[in-house]
Order: sequence, then C-alpha cells, then structure tokens
Amino acid sequence: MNEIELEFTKLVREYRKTIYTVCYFFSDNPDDVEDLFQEVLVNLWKGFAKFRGDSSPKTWIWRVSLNTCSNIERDKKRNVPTVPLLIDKDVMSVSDEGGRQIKMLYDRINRLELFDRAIILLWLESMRYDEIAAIVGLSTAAVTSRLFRIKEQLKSMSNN
Amino acid sequence: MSENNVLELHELEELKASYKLMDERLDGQEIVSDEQLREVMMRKFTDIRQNMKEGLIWTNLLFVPAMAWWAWANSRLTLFGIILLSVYWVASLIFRFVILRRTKKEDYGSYDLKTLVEKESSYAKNIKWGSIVTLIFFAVFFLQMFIGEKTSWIVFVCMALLIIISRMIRKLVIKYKYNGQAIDPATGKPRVLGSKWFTIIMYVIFGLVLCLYMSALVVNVINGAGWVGLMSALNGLSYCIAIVVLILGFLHQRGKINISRRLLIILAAIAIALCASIAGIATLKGFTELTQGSHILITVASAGLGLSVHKMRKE
Repeated sequence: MNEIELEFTKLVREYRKTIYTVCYFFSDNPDDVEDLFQEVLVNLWKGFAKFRGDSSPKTWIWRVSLNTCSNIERDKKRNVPTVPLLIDKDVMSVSDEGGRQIKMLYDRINRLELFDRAIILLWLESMRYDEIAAIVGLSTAAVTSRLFRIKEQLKSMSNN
Repeated sequence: MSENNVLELHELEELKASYKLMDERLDGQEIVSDEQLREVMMRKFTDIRQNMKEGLIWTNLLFVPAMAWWAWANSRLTLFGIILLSVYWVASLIFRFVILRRTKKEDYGSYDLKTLVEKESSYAKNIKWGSIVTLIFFAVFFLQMFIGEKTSWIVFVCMALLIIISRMIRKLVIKYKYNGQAIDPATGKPRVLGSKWFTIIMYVIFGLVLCLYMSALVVNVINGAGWVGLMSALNGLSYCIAIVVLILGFLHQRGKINISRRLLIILAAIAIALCASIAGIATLKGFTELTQGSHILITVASAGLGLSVHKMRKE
C-alpha cells in the first residue's frame, strides 16, 4: 500500500461507525446497508485525492456519506459488487430491549423525507446548527426551523 | 414547562438515547474489511472501463450510420433527413460521453446536500429529455420513411415545435409562479409541474404520430388493390403492434403502468413474424413495393426500442 492508500484506510477505519450509521438509516432493508456502504466507500475514495482538509475529516465523511446515500436512495442504483461487512448480525437484532429501541429509531427516521433524514441524523450526532447548515447547504435559520418541524413530526409519530 | 412538553422532550431524549446505544453497540465492530478496502481502491480503474462500456452500449455509434446507409440505398433519405441524422448522431455522442460521464465522475465531497440534489435533478432532467427526444426521433423517423419523403419535414417541425413550446411554458410557469425555483426547497425534488406537462406532451405527441400513421395506412390501402392493399394493411398492423410495444415499454419505464416483459416480447414477436411473413409472401407473389425490407427494419427497431426502454426502469 502507498501512503495515500494507508491514509485512506486509516480514515475509513476511524469513521466506519459514521458511515455505517448513515447507510443503516438510509437503507430500505438490512441487505441494502452493504450496498450503500460500498458505494460510500467508492465515493470517498474517488474524492479522497481532492480532499485537502478545507473542512474537518468528520464533516467531509458525513457530507460524502449523506450525499451518496440520499442520491442512491433516489436513483435506486445498485451497480457496485459488494463485499460482506464485518459486523455481528446480533448488533442490530430486535431480540432484546436495546435492539427494539434502535429499530424504533430506524422506523421513525426512515419515514422522514431524505433531506429531513440527513438533518435529524446530524442533530442526533450532536452537531452544531452551523455545522449541519454547512453539510446540507441551508442557512442556520432554515436548519433551526426545519429541525423544529422534524421534531414535531417525530413526536406525532410517537403519539400515533 | 407543561406536562405535555416534558413528555415530548422525554420522547426526543429517548431517540437520542437509542442513537447513542447504537453507537455503543457498533464500538466493538470492525465493520470494514481489508478485502473491501482493496476492492474499493482498485475500482478507480475499473470505473473507466465501465463508463466506456456503457458509452458504447448506449450510443448509436453504429446503428444510426447503418440505418442512414440503408435509407439512402432505398432512396428514402432526403438531404433534410441526412442533416437530422447527423445532428442526432453527434448530439447523442456528446450526451452519452460528456454528460453521463460527468455524472459518474462527480465528487460527492465538494457539494452540500442541497447543491447535489439540484445538480442531480438537472442531470436526471437531461437524461429524461434525452430519452424522450430519442423516442420521438425514431418513432417519427420511421414514420416519415413509411409515409414518404414529402411529409417528413412537416412532421419533424411539428415535433420540434411541440418540444420547444412545452419547454417554454414550463420555464415561464417556473419563472412567474415559483420565482425561478425549479426545485421545491421543501422536498429538494423538482416541481411536479414538469412531470404533469411531460405526460400531457407525450400523449399529444404519440397521438399525433398515431394519427399520421393511420392516415398513411388508409392512403396505402386505398391506393393498393386486392392482395397489395390487404398486405399493406397487415404491414401497417405489424408496425402498429411494434409502436404499441414502444409505448408500453416507455410507460412501464416511467412507472405509469406495470407490464410484464414476457407480454412485450410476445407482442414484439407477433409484430416481427407478421411483417416477415408479409415480406415472404410479397416476394413469392412478386409485389415489389412490399419486398424492400423497410417494414421489417422499422418494426424490429420500434419493438426493440420498446423492449430496451422497458428494461431501463429503476426498481
């Protein structure tokens, strides 16, 4: 491996959870997660040479992951051969209380519009509003009002 | 703070707790393997091959010149037709190689989500209109060959005007009604207006094509006596079936209807078998006007296009 490949490998390993989380919440079913994950990796690798640290690696990873997943979700393209992920299948199973909680979170987020899904994930990640605004391309004020609306929507889901 | 608000706050905190729990559960997971990383880092090179392959499949690099040669050899290509075919050929090359390649080489880290959605919508629109122009072009081109050279330019001008007018109406509506915003900021998707107009225009265009075709058919039957007239009508029927395959394939691709591939293949086979049989009988009986093979080519191309479009639907 050359230096760039080593740096890329290190970065992906460091942010693997972020990539997985985005893919998980943007997938229609558990089988889709692997496809999405692979697509995100491809796009990260394509853009890695151009990434010069204008934003933090975390912001860049979030941006590429969300852009890829929301775009693929819309187009339903599946043209990349996938390699199985190294993850224990029980992690996301609903056999225990924790698993059920995660499934409940997935069900609610999955019912949101793609744009809203991205915003709420960034909020759950405890990002600042200006950071969210930079990733999704809205003004901070727009993010604030939009988040308010999304939260209302999530609350109404729980009431139903 | 009211009791209701406290309850709602609690629910949002619950969502955060679930998210944190997921994060904790993923802590011990390796998730990405060395094999996967290797596969991804190698893809930079395979992508280029993939693009080339797709480019070659989708261009009309060979088909259009072959068709032009055939039409020329059978005296069915006017100077106007040559110009149209050349423009279409060059445009399709540019479209396939430049626009589609550009879409695939997009760096997803350079844009925010909103910009990306807008760019992708614009690409999707280009691709959609590219497909429409292709469909219209071939349907009309084959039709004008069927009807005769004299009417060809009128049909093309009608089609071009329809497209230009529809685009102008859309632009004006977006400019004045939506203050120039083609993308709905609430959903990040293109305005529904486009698809509504698109549907109407497509119905009008296909209606026009069908009317022109039917009139040509009637003229052929009236002019031909006995067997010739009957076989002209059957030839027309085979072309009609092929056009139906084209329309059904297109509607399926747009998601307007669900139609099985098997049914389309059966219809295409009937159309091709019918026109091939007529060509055979015409050869035996010496009806030279029905033995040129033009109907077979037109029918095969229309039905084939319909089957290809049917396949393009994204599930």
